[in-house]
Amino acid sequence: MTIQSSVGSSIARPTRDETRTAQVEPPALLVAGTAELRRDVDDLHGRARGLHRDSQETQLSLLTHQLNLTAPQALLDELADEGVAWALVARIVGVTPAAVRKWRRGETVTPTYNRELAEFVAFCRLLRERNPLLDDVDQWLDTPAASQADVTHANLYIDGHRAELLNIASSDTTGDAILDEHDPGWRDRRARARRWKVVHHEDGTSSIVDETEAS
Amino acid sequence: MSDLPDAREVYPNAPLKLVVCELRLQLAPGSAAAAAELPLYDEIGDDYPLQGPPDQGFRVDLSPAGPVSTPVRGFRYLTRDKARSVAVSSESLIVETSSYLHFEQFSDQIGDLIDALGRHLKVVSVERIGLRYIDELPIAGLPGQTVEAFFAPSVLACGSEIPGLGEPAEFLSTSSYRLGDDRVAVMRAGLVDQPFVTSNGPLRIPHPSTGPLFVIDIDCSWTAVNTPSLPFERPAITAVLADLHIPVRSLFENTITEKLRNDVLRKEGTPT
Repeated sequence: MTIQSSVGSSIARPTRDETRTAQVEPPALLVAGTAELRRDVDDLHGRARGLHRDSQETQLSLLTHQLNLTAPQALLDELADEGVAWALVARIVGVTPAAVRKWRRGETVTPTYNRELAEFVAFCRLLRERNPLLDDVDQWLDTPAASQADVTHANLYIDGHRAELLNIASSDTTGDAILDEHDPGWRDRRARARRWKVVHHEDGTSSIVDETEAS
Repeated sequence: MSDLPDAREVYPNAPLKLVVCELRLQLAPGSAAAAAELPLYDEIGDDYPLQGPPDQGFRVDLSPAGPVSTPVRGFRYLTRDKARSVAVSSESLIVETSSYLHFEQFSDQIGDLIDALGRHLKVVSVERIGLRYIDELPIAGLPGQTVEAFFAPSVLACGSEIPGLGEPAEFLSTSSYRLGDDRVAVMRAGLVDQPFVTSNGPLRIPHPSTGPLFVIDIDCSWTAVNTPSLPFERPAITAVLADLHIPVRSLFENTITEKLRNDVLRKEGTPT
């Protein structure tokens, strides 16, 4: 077992495996022992999670590499079969919807965008593997990933959290946890805008209404 | 060690509160401790007629979703005076006593339990054997109510005064002695506010300590890390126990002084 010190070095510390008895419970040592155990478990959990994420990224990368050899029209057909809207494909790949329409008509796709398309198709396939009960990939990608923000699963994909998104799909983590890890200030910055508006009626009364309803 | 007192001397006012022997077991696939609960009672119920709280524990496994703890359940039987108990779970056999007389008797009691349990539970191997002695000496029971002169300077060293801070309110040193590839003796000694041995456990503690007190906790163990695991057989296990017992006396006697022996431990009728 090691402890990571504040300056980044590791100090080796022996683990003590003691002869157990229900008759000994020195509170301070018990607390120290459980704290040590918790630290060990957290450390191991972190390493296991990192390893799991690395393996998912490797799987995504290998599948992307295979699909990159597929014609772009075939990739777009597969996305169409999944029910993914062209506007979303355009956002994910980083082009305009018009560009996607041109690709569908057979215009050349640059190698960079072809790889983006291949990765998105690979992601959709793995998403289906992780959660076979997922009905609508398009709708899932447009769903808010976190409880207190407008960040959607598609936003997380665009930000590069693809392996973690697969874990969300299999209910192994949450969007809140991913944002907490990668963007600690997200709650403040991305909090839902308070879309409320005061509407003055003809009879002189006022109401607070949803801004979208008022417009 | 030539200046140590007679190795067989039994102090009339010994501060020994608890002796524990734990055997960590590997059961055969499909074997469960629960299956041995009633057959074992039929066999040892005359000596251990009372049922006690089971050995509570848990095992922590890791999954991609995080740590998952699984309770480890077992059972415990006690002697009528609650001075000795045997606790069995899928992971261990624990024998402990608060009325220890001498090692040979304790070793025989453990041997009898190994024989009995072996007839009802399929144990593949023994992975760890621990033998632990806990002595507690309340400071109120020491002449002058001070630890100086009663314990070796080596264990009192970490209780030294620090300029500007004074003496520590509590201190506890841990020393680990390697006794070959597979054995280790760990001694914790020091001044603490609360007793290590609780009177709220399954055993009755005849004279529970009250703090502050000086504790000497000696834990000798054998682990099958660099050597093969042991069969669950009386001769092999009691031989290891006898080896583990050897350093216990040396560690204890070298931790205390002749003054403690004469002024406290050899005095009759003043339980510490």
